[in-house]
Amino acid sequence: MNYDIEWLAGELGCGELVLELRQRVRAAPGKVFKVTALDAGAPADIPAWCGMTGNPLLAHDPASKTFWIRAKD
Amino acid sequence: MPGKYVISLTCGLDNTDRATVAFVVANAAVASDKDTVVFLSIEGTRLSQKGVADAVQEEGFAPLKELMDNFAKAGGKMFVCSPCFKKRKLDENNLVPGAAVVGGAKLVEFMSDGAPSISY
Repeated sequence: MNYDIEWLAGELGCGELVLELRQRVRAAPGKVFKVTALDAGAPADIPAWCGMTGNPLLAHDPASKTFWIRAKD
Repeated sequence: MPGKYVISLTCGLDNTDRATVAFVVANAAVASDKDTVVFLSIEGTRLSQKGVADAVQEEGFAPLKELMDNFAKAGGKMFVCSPCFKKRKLDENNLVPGAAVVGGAKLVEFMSDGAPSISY
């Protein structure tokens, strides 16, 4: 999947992960992010965060722990 | 998704594990666009003072000061229990960013139209 911005979130998790994600997404409205997040909670947290904040989750590849998110305008 | 969220924290340096996790969850709430308040009461009140959290870092977590600073920068608020503050003779001129000393009515007002909460 095409993307504009890649972010390797590493082991960041829970509040730290989504707070950093929020800052990055807010700074780039309309862009597609490819986010790799290794924290064990990320597969639950990132879809939940996308749903709450209105930033669409375009795809998730559990094997590579990667998420594609479109930043809302 | 608008809404409010309250994290009640009664611990400070007496239980830095609880204090740290409280602010991690607070950051998750504010990052999720919730109007978020951390209610500092009992020993948690001491965290309202600059310098108190500076040396706290639980294993596997970011330093507490960094968590608190990031929370405030993201728009999170800390309501500091007024009677707890007075009892401990803390300094209103030494509050960390995002903190305000309030009475119970302010918290009740914030929660009066419904606000989920979690306690530490």
